[in-house]
Amino acid sequence: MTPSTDEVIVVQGPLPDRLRNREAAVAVPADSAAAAVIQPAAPATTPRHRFTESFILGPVWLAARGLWYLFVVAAIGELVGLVTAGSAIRRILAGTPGGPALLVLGIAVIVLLRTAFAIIAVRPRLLQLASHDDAAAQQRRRMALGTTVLVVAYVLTLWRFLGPALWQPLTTFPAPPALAPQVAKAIDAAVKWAIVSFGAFFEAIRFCVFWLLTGIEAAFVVTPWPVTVIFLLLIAWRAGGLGVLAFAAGSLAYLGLFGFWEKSMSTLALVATSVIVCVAFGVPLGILCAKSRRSNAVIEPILDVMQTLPTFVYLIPAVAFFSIGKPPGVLATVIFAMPPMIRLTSLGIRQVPQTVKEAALAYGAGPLQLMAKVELPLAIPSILTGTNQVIMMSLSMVVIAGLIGAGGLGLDVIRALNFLQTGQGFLAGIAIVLMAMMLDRIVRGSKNAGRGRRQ
Amino acid sequence: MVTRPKSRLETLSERVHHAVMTGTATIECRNLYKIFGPRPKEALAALRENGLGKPDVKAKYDSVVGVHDVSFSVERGEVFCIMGLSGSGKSTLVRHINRLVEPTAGSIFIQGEDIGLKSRRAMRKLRAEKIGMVFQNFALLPHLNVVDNVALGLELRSLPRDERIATARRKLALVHLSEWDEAWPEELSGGMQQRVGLARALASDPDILLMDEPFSALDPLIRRQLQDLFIDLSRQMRKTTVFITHDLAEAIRIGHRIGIMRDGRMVQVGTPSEIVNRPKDDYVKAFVQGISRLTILAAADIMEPLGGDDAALAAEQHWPVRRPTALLDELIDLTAESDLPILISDGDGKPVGIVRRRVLLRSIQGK
Repeated sequence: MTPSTDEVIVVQGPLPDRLRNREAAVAVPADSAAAAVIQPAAPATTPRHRFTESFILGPVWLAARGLWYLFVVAAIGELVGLVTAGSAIRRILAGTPGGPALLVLGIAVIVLLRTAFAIIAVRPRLLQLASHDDAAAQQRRRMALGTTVLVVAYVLTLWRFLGPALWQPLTTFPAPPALAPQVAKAIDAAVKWAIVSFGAFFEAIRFCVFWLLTGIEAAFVVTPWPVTVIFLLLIAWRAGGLGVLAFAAGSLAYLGLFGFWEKSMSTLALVATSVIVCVAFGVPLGILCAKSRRSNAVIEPILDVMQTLPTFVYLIPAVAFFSIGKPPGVLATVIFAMPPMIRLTSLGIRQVPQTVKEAALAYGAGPLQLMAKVELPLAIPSILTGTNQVIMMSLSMVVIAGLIGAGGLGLDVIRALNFLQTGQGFLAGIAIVLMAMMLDRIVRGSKNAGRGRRQ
Repeated sequence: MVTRPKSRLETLSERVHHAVMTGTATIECRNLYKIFGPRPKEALAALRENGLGKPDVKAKYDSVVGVHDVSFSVERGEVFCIMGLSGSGKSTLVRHINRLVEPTAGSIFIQGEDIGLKSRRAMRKLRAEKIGMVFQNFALLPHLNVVDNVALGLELRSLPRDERIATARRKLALVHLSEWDEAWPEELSGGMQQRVGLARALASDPDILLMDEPFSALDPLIRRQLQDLFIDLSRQMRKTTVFITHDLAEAIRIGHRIGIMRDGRMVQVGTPSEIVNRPKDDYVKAFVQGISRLTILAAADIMEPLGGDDAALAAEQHWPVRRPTALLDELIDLTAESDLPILISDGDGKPVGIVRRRVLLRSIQGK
């Protein structure tokens, strides 16, 4: 049903509105193919008119008003209805039972959908939609786009579900068969070349990490356990008071009683090493990100990759570059855990109030003084949050690092997994959880203690 | 009520003029322009040559004119108030004086030196040693306690800790906050925070104070207290001060001279009585309308010339006699007690004018 120009003009409402409608109706070029569907979309008419026009146009009505998200939802819903109705017709023609019921279902879906959107059209406030009765030309452009999308989507989908076999490239994406293997091979070659050419470089990194780790591990593992316990408890108490002290004591008791002491200390050493590396590189990089828009633009996507690339993907080259053992475990952990350090440092520095920085400049601060005496101190809470994140993420990497021989608690989890020892697996898992919580409480406690100083 | 040294009022313009001519002005700005935007130089040329207005520059060059051809100078020990509505460019202007903002064109002289020629290092030294600044939002460092905040400028100059703490404590005493030296900024009320800000500005005993709407964020009672405190300190120390405010009453209370800004231009510069008596245009007039004249206008501003036999009459009827510098406030006291006119005579006792009740009342009205 397409209301004629007369109907558009004869609307209720104050005179100015009617005049506007007449102008809008006249403004539509009568010869254009779209004219038939354009007219209903002319500016505000009565609610009943709006209801009818949006019911009839369906998704196209939404498209005309720029409600593209609703347009997609409506189109998908209608496609479900259309496919259902179409397959029902096929059944009826073939004489298979259940056809009429399906047909009713399919038509009902379409009618219900259109009614729902027509109600929205009449009462746009239901969805907090702004009024989208824009200029007729813009509506026409949107309508053309919406109609095109609908036609392509409907024809292809209905054909796929109901018609004869479709041209194959339309059903499966036409991927050139050689592309992926060739690129993968090229990456292999590049990695191999890098291993050969920069062997010394990777060996140097491995060496540094190894000695850092060995030193820390010696401190944790070789030191008699009562000494370690005393120091850890002292730190816990200073940072978070008696509550954290009690929690730490309980956790350490668990680690000792279930025979995880040595392994947990070795894990702790791994975590400590990765935290040191993350802070040592993350804080300067975070400062760089905060200060230079260009470096931020470069570093930001790299951080996204580091955070989302599945660990196993870089675990393989890590083994290739650094062989197995603890150093590649630490490095894989660092890759995974460093992004929040950089991000939170940068955030902390960027959120230092401009007024405070200006005050420091007005009293003669140079760039380095500004950084050391104003920006970094004010970013400390954020940096500590980053450190906390690094610890948590490092601990969650411990298990995966165990796969490439990083030892510690991760090894126990991996072994339990291999031998299907559910009980052993749980015990080791809980040990990791307790350690994580203990460290978390300590770091958070020290952050609060820093703030408490002021009260 | 604080009264200004009366002899200053009439002679100040001349003294400033003298100071500029002889090069002894502490701060001097010459033809400053500041244009914010992508193409400041082109916008500047358009502004200078084609006489484009602020909206034109905005439309044509996507640039905002912050300061438009401003020249002024401040004499040593003078308090110069810059008054204008928000957006008139006064905060931008004051930041030129310590080069927190670089001018697009024009130059600034401090004690005769063109600071545009100074290196960054020299500029930092100048800021640290010669200029104290107070901010509208206090801008205290939240991670330092009060005494360390006051000592900020000294710390940036790397003075030994004992020395800077001792100095900071002395300055805190000046603003009556000795008890609060170990407190954190967030524990203080707004008024107290700004007193810390003031102490911080005084810490390195600078020659120049830049006050960027220091009391605007405070409630009226506290604002009044801090104004009094500042006037007090300012009298003792005689710091050359540029004081930004959007409140003409405050400018009149505090300033020796006032510059009124509008759309980046300095519309009028003068002593409070010049501004109030002879507002240059309707814009200034609108500000002046609500101002109490009692402590601004003096007898010299309103007196009428003596008639032929007035002097004889005065002697016969024992008219009260006052100097030309007597303020309206004082003249009202006299008129309230007696119906006689007031004879105005100069230092040598020579009659120079007469103030009658009608004139007095009209001048209070501002007519």
